[in-house]
Amino acid sequence: MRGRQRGLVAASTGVLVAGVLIAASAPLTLAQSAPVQVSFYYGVGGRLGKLVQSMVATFNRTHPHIKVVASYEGSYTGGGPEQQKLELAMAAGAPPAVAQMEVHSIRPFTAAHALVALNKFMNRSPHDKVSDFMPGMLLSGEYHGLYYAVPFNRSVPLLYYNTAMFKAAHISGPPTTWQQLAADAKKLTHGSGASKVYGYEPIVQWWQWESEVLSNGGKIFNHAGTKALFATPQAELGTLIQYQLLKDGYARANSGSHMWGDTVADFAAGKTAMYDGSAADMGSIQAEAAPSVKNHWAAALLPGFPNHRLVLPPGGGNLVLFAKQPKAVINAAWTFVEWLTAAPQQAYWSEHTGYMPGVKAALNIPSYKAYLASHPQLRVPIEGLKYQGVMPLNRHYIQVMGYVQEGMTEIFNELKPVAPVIAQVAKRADGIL
Amino acid sequence: MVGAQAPAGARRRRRWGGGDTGAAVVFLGPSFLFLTAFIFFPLVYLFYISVLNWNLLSPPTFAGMHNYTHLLASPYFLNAVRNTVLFTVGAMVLILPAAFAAAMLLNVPLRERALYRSALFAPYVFPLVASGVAWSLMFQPQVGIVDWVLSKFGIHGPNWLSSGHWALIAVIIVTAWQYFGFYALIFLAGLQALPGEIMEAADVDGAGGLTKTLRITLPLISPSFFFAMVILVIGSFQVFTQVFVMTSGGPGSSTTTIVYYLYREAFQYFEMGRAAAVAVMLLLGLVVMTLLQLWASRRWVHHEA
Repeated sequence: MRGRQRGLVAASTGVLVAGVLIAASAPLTLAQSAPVQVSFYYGVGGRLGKLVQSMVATFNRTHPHIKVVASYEGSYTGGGPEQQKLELAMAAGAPPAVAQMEVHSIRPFTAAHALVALNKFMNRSPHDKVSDFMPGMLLSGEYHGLYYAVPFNRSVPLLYYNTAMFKAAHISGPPTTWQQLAADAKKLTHGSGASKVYGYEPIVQWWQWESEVLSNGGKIFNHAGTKALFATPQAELGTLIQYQLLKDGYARANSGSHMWGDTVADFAAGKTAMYDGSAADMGSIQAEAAPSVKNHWAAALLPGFPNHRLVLPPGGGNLVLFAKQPKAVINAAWTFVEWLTAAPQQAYWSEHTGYMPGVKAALNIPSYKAYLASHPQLRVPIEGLKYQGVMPLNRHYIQVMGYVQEGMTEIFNELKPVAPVIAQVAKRADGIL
Repeated sequence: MVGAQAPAGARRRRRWGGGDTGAAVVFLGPSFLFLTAFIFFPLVYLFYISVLNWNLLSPPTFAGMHNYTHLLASPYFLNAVRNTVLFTVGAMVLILPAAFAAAMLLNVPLRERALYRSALFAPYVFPLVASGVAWSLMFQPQVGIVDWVLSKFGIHGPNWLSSGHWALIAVIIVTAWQYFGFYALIFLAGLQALPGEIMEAADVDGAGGLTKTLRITLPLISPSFFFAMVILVIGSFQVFTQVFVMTSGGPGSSTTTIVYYLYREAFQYFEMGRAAAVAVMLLLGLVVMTLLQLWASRRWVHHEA
């Protein structure tokens, strides 16, 4: 009886120990086999969105220990739907691990300690050290000496022009100053009514306005970022030249929510000879171009002003990592970011989108070299990096640019005089700075 | 047995506070919980956010009444209020008389009446975003169909959406097109409920069509007019989609309405406290206006005794 009891106790203990061992080892086995999940918010739709998804699929296939779940969250533009969702996710305490973020929008997130400083990852990366990136590419993600963002879909504002129309008007090349642009626009304008061709069509957008202000030696804010300084004749000159062209009938401007797309469409249809857009417009122009425009367009740097150095604002998006995630997730997220910023992926992305590659090594890839040789307009934004400036990214920057945007629609669409409108915008900006 | 059950039933009623109250709690409880979660609590929370300075990213700080005083002193907010009032008046002037006239026509016994009713109601079922995009194209200068039609009458159409004067009118036109059928349906329901004997009596007395419309029809369907006016004012003060799709509040701020202003403060500038204060002021404004309409309705709305 006692022997049976002892046997029963031994058997029970054995079962218990085995159970504990199995239970203890099960999570370990699962943890070893289950990939680390990395959520990724991005903000480019359509053709570009499909490209992002295909790159993520390639990453997941080649990195079985990580699973990136990419979700399109609406446009990544400053204050746009993706940023809205990121701020709401932050407020809810559930941000994604990685996000694409518009270059001007990073500052409020860094100020709120929402992002991971990337220096330690970059320093030990074989290809993401500071010196590996194209010049000026890291400026928009720098805060108090630390880097919080690396470039992904980066662009600069450019001038697009119709080479056939330039030839017909006996103009040898694209204008390099705004004064020259005005003179060219007058020569290029012809026709009337629905068939009128305008010499120039401005994008009514604060992004180009930044360049116009800074390229003539103007300033946006004072050093402390507490006062708007853009209501001066010097800062207003570029806007004034465009306003005069619109007023005199040598330029036209679109309005409303589809303004950018409509402006690209007008150029692609041969209704305008020049417009100032983004490096990322190249794909759309080529896709939408009428037969008469298809092989007769080119890109140039935005015009500047005599005796001043051209300044081009950064554009497009960076990649950022959100803090307050488990260490394993942050490490996996960096692995994904490092893969996306590697030269082969950057060259592939640039070839298929028109965005600039973020790292210098992409320029040495033979296939990309050949692509640049056959698509010389793609060299223009890369050339533009030399002129990239640092924008005064304070917390209210996007809000002030919203005010500038409203002012620009008053000037470009309603043809209200420049100086009073800009003075009003500056006063409004001072109210929140 | 009957005598033995009665005290138990009475005890149950006492425990629940009476039979009817118990049933009311059971039936209304789920709705009350739903309303608490999705209406009452958000409303209280809205008031709370409106006294904060909060950008979602940094911890909120108490701002007292600053958001309210800032808005009341802001020419841009006051401009949004002005635009909203203009929009409301414009929509009312365009929609209500036209919808009433259409309802009168649709009330005539025609063979194709169902077809006409469907055609008039059709715009209401289109998504407002789709209508806004389509109308934006139609309002394009030179190439849009609106200017083309005007040119056939020798009128040089304005640059609708690029003009600070015309953009709001364009938005009102689209809104009138979209909602006109809906209001016509409200009036049609009112017309069909009119007692036939009164009209017959008017016919016997020799009243003409205009007299019958002004003296009999309009007073009798005044409750429908009142209902239409109340919901039109509330709907107009909440106008957003058309503005978002067609003009983004511009040019300048010429089509920025109260709700579009709220949207920009909340989701483009991330000034949550200020946006909540706009919402509170809109809510209070609508309550006051509805009460005023109710008060004024005593003078002109005819209620059957």
